[in-house]
Amino acid sequence: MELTPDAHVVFTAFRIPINATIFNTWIVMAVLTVVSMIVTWRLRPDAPPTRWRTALEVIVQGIEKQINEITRRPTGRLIYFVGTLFLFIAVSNLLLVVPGFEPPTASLSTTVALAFSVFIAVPIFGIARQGIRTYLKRYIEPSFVMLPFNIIGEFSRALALAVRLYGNIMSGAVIAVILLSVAPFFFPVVMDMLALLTGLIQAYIFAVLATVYIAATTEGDGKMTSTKEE
Amino acid sequence: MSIDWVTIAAQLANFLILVWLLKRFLYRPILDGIDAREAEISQRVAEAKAATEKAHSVEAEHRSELEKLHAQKSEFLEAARTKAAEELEKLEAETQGLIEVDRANWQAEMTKMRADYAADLKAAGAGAILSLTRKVLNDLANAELEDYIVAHLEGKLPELGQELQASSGTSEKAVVLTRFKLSEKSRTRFTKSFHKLVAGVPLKFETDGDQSLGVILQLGGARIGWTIESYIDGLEGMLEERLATQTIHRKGGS
Repeated sequence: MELTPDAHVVFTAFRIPINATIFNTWIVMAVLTVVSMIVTWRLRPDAPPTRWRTALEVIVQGIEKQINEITRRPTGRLIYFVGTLFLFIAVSNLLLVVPGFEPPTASLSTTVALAFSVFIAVPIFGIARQGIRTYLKRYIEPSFVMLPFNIIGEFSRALALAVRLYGNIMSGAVIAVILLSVAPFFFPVVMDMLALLTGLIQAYIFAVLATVYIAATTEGDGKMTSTKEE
Repeated sequence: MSIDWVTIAAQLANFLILVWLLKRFLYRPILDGIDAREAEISQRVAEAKAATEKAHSVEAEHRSELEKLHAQKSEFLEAARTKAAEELEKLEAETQGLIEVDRANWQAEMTKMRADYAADLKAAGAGAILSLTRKVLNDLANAELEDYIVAHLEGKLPELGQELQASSGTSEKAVVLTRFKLSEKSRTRFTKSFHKLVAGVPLKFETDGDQSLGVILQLGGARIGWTIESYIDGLEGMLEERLATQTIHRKGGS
């Protein structure tokens, strides 16, 4: 039983093997980009919005509203990062219903990459908002002794994010495989429906946690704050 | 479970590319569109608010104008009422004056008519009295009465002496006209009295049935006599003169 799509090489380009994780990620990227391009093609403010445009507006405004509620300030560029996280994970998980499609989020490499991106984004947003001195000062708060613990906290947070997403998606796939062997015609349908729900919830949780981490590092007092865990 | 670092790097790159793609094709157009629409809605709301305020201002202005017009209307109405009342009073006064004039004219007319009627009545009464007198005297006329009249004229002859003498001139005869034939005694006495005044002129007595009761003496161009007719004519003249005098006095008094 294969637990990760990383091992499944779809094709090789320039002697580089392209596995299913990367290939399916491209599919998800293509779907998101093409749909966005089609909906926002020749967008005019004075024209009445179409159904698709309204749906996208609802999604984008929903993401913006969630970020605003967490950060309690204007979203700025945060929506590009957090919104893309949410949409990528959500669409990847929703495409689970497509037969033969392996969600890229079921790969630990993908979740690690996403967690790593959050790990990188946190100091970038923090420094952009507070300046490098104020941001680095956080690691020696409340005293210099806390420096290693704070650094470990940053890494563990990224690791927790990666493992949480991977575990949820992979566990769903594993459970589906196990149940498929027990009751091949009934359980997969139920599990797929459950996977759709958990996939959306995971996308939401991942995005919210990323927002919380970034918001915690960009708050005005410059202190490390505890974050709400799942 | 294994971690493929190449895949991680690729996924990281893929994710960053996806961030850029979605920013380029999703977030920016959608957010810009929302912002533009909100701006347009805000502008329309502001325009609507401005239009509403303008409408309120115009409404207030119109209301003020309306109140002013109402006030002017009241003033005009009051002025018109006052003028109409004055005009009515004036017309009433004029009408009253005209009525007074008409009444005075009518009263004068009535007074005149009454006076004329009274005058006519008096004249008619006098005429009736005269007619009656004339009828009575004519009915009572006889030779004896005429003798009395001759005697009366005889008594007045001395007063007419000079006039008779002047009239005798070249006359050759004098004529005494009566209705009835005079008695011999009356003829003699009158002849004697006549010849005392006018000597040498023969006197002749004649009768005329159509003549009024009385005596007429014709001597040359002179005609002297006393008849009932002439007497009543004199009385009638006196009455007319008297009535005319009274009418003039009454008109002068009214």
